[in-house]
Amino acid sequence: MKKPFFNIKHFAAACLLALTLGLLSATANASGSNTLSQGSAMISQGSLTLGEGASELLGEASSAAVAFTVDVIEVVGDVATVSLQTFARASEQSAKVAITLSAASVSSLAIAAGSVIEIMVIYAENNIDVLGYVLLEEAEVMLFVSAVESTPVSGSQTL
Amino acid sequence: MKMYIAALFLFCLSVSTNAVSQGSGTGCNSIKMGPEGYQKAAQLSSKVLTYLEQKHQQDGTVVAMLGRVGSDSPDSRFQRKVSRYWNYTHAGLAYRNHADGQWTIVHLLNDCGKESNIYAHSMMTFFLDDPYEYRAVVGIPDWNTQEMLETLIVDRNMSLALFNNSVYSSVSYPFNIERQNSNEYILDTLVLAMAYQNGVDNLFTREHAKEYLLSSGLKQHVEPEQVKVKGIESFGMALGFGPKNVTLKDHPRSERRGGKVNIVSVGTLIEFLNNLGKLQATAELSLKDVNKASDTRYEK
Repeated sequence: MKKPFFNIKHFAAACLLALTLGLLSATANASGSNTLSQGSAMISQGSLTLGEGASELLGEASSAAVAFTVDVIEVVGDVATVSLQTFARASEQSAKVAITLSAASVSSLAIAAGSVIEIMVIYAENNIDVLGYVLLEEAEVMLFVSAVESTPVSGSQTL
Repeated sequence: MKMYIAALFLFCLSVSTNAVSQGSGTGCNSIKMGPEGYQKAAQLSSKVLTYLEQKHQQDGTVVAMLGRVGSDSPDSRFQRKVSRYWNYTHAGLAYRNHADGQWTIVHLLNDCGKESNIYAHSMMTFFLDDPYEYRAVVGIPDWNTQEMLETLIVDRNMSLALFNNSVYSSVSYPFNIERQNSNEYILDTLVLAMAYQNGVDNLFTREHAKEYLLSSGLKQHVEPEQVKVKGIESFGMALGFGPKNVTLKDHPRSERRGGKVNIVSVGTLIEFLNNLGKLQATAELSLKDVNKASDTRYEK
C-alpha cells in the first residue's frame, strides 16, 4: 500500500522541532532599540565624595576599576551614606570614598557592610573631565553616580 | 526525511520572520549594560546636553526632538531612505522644563510583545539602551511648535493620552490607529501640536490626532519610510511565527502584497517638520568611537 505524503505525526514532530529551533534563533537575534534596557535601573541620584587618597588612587587607575570595601552604612531618615575604603597595608593609609544616596536605593541594591565594591571613573571624551563613577559588584554595574550637576544625571520613570 | 524537510521549512519561516524585527528590537530581552556602555552613554549624553544648553542660551530652545541609532538598519531593508537621517531608528522629545528634570525625554518604549509604555528618561538613560552606534540627531522645531509641545506635554501632561494604551508593533502603519510604535507616537504628538497651533484645541487623544492628520491635509507632509518585507517573512508572520512585537495586520493588503510596508522613521519625523516649514535646525553628534559597547549582556 502506498504511504500517504502527509502524516500528522511527522507534521507535529516537525512543528515541535521548528519551534525549538525558532526560539533559539529569536534569542540569537536579540537586539535592543525601542526596548527598555535594564541598565537604566542602575542609575541613581546621589553624590560621591572622594576622601583622603581616593582622588590620586582613582586617577592613577585611569579607566580601570579600584576595589573598595564597604565600611559603614549610615541611614538618617531617607538618606543613606555609604563609606568605603581601600584595603591598606601597614605602611599605607587607606583611601576613602563616601556615597550619599536614598536609603531605598541602598536597600534595592543590597549594599551590605563588608562587601567589596569596585569604582571606575567615567571620563568625558577628552579624558580629563570626570562625568561620573560606575560602581561594580562582581564585574556587574550596580550604580552610576554623576559627578557633574546637570550633566548626565539619573532618571527613569514610567508615565 | 519528510519530517526534516518540513522542519527546515518551518525553521526558515521562523528565522525570516524574526529577522523583520531586527532594527526594532524583539522586546522581551533583558539588557545589562557593562562599564563601557555606561561610559559611552555618559559621554554622548554629556555632549548632547552641552549642545542643547548652548542652543537654549543662544535662542531659548526648550524642546528638541532626539533620534538614536537603536539598531542596524540594513541598506537593503530601508527602501526610501527618507532624509539624511534615515538610519536613526528611534525618536523621543526632550523637554528642558519637564517636572522630572532638565531635558527629560518623553518617549514610547516596547516593554515586551505588544506591550509598551510612555517613559520619562534622563539623557543618559536614553543612551543606555544598548544603541547600535553612539550617534544622535537633534531636530529643533520652530519656536511656536516648541511652545505648543511644552504646553501639551509639560503643562497639561497629555503624554499618556497620546499613547492611550495603544497596541505595539515595531513596523506600525502610520495612517490608522490599530498599532503604534515609538516614532508614530512622536508623529502623533507633533500632529496634536500642529492642530492646537491651527486653533483646533478640542483634540486630546492619539485617536483625535490621527483623525486630524487624515482630515486636515497634514498627511501629505508625512513621507513614510518603506521597509522591505520578504514574501516568506510575511507568510510566516501570518502563520504566527516570528516575534510578538511585529505584525503586518494593520497595513493595507496592497502594501503586504507588494512586500513594502510604510512606517514612521526618524527621517520621516524630521522631514515632516521640514515640509511644514517648522524645522529650525538639525544637528548630528557622535562619539569618536561610535561602535556599540562590547560588554553588554543579553538575557532572555
